[in-house]
Amino acid sequence: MQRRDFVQSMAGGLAGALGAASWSQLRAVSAYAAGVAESAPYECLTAEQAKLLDVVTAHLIPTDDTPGAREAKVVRFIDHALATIFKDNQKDFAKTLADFTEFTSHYRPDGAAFLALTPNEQIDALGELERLEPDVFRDLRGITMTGMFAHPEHGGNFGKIGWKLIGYEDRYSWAPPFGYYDRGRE
Amino acid sequence: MSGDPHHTHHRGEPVRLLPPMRTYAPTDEVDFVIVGSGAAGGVMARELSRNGFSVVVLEQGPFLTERDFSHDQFWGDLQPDKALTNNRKDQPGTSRKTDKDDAKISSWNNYGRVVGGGSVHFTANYWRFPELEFEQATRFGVPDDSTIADWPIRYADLEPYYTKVEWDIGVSGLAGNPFEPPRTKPFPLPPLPIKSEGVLLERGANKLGMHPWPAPMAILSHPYRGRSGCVACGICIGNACEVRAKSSSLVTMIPEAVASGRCEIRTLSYARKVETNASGRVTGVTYFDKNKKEVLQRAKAVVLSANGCETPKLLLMSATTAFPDGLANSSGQVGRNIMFNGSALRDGLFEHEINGWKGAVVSRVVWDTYEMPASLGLYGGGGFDFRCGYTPLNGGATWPGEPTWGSAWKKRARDYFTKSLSVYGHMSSLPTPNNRVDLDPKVKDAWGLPAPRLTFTGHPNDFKLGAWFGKRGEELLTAAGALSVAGEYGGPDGGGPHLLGTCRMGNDPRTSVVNADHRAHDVPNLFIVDGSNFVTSGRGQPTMTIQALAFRAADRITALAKAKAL
Repeated sequence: MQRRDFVQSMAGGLAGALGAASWSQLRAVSAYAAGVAESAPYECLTAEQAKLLDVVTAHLIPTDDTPGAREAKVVRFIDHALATIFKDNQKDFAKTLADFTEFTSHYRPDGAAFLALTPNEQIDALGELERLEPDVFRDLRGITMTGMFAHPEHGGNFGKIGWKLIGYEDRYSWAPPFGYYDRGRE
Repeated sequence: MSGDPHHTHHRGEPVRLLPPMRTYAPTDEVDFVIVGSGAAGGVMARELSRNGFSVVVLEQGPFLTERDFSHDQFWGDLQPDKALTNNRKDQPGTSRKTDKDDAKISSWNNYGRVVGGGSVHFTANYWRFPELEFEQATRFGVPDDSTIADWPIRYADLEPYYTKVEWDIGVSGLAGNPFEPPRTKPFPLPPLPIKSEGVLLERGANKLGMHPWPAPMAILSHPYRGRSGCVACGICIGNACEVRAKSSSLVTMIPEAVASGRCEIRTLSYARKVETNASGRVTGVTYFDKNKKEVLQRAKAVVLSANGCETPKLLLMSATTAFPDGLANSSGQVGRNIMFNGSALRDGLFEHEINGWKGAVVSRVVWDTYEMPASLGLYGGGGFDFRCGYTPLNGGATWPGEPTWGSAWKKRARDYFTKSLSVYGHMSSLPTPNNRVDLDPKVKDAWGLPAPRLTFTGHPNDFKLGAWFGKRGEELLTAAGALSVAGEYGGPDGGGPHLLGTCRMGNDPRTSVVNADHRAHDVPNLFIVDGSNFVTSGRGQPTMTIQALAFRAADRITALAKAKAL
């Protein structure tokens, strides 16, 4: 099978579970340029959903001493993927977002929406989500990671930011030594 | 999309791929129709057409080539249902554990659905079966609730064909592994370069007194027969090779079959029934063409190489009043004894960069465990490799007990991606009488054909074997110097691409579907040549043996045809 090691280490649930894109759909998606204008309308997400995802993904992969989900345009990836390769999963993803909203609305006694929480409260709420609603968290994390590490032609991983983070280079032609341990064996 | 094997389109420009291909009319009675163009079907097409026979190959999928392939991970079958494999939305499978359960939609059956089949995206581990594989019932007995039996052939019967596979498709490796059965020729190509995973496996195995050895891989270490050597791009497992270094049927057997001038590869053609006449002989195959129109291709004989799920499905769908339980199924064995092999996995995190995302997946193997000490009371065996299954889409990997997001995760993401690997134990599986594929009574595919239904419960021995291999795998990781070891998985796979045993080979028509010539016991001009013929599962890597069987079958069938004995 794409045996368990790959399934398990996949960026997350959604990446594995989403989509039954056909060859022709894949062909179509590759025409999508990575450099979508900041102001371009979303294809699938509402403005509210996009705003929420912007904050959530930036907590999952923050901008610190290196770029994060925001610079990698992960939300643009999610939007475009839901309109194309993950089209069949729009409903599932909408449910994930609804579950997220429902869960986080109970974080503070006053029922404040996630976006109304302070950044520290948001981080804490995400931690609670991971602990108590692992499936919802896994889906959000999964699609975030997919946007971070998928080929840039899908709209995320802008400037190969994700690949730089993990030390992956798309040179597609290598010679030994490949790593530390095979030095001197080539 | 292509589907036209003469041309493809690259950025809108037509590109000629192959020499002109002979075509046939469906009303032409060709010598052979072959269903499937994968590891086995490709060999059958090349051998039979070069031996002078007219051949039509029916392939469900399109004819893609390296010009169509991409480094984009969404193409490969790391993602299910993508470009190279069966799309479960259109062709669902169903599965259940026992006859008492209701089968539910499930993606248990994974196969290549392009010209070249699963060989286009495989990992390319090309292990010969050991001699004992063919005579286990005699040597080790038959465990309770297992239908394990001796093969009707022995290793010596297959050895010339193993060698032929190595030389005709191109396999890289090094002769001399103490656990490899006798061979008559060295490998045609030296091993692929050792990777850090391979060095670490050597380190661990040597400490445990085991014998690591260069992995035999169906990937070219150097240019060979007009194809490029591997450039170590790393987008390998589950993906199609862009430089023709992976020795798939697509780049080895199929072009040579077409070049014979006697073979047509007919794509987007989904077989739905093997037709028979009043005297119980096959007369051709009815298939859906690309417009879902039914077409009958007439033939003097039929070869099914559709894989261990699709082949029995087709036979069961071909029932008639003369063959009420499905074609070639007087034994009731069609679809039974399904085996998937087993897996045992653990992950190890190391101090330095391994970078397993470069190069082919495997560079060293350990086969000391092909045969287990009798004192363990375990049936079967297997082998190990160390591999880093990571491709860039795995960049979000985590490690147990460590942060999974935020800046703390970010600081470790590179370590998880570059410094970890998995030990992979590949294991045998026992056949049981009730583990089987049949036709789902309710669920249909997009063509209105029944979904293949799996009934499967792993044999208790195989769970014990998985636990043992998992433990041994941990010891290998620790001996190799892993800082941390994680995971605990080991046991029979309940699905996957290794679809084995469902039309087993044997001398007794009451307990097997085909004889040692791959001829159906019930139908003289019907042959079955693919993983379904396996009597036992092998030690984890079936494709090499599928192809060796196919080369042998082609010789046998050619001899029968030339003797007018079909």
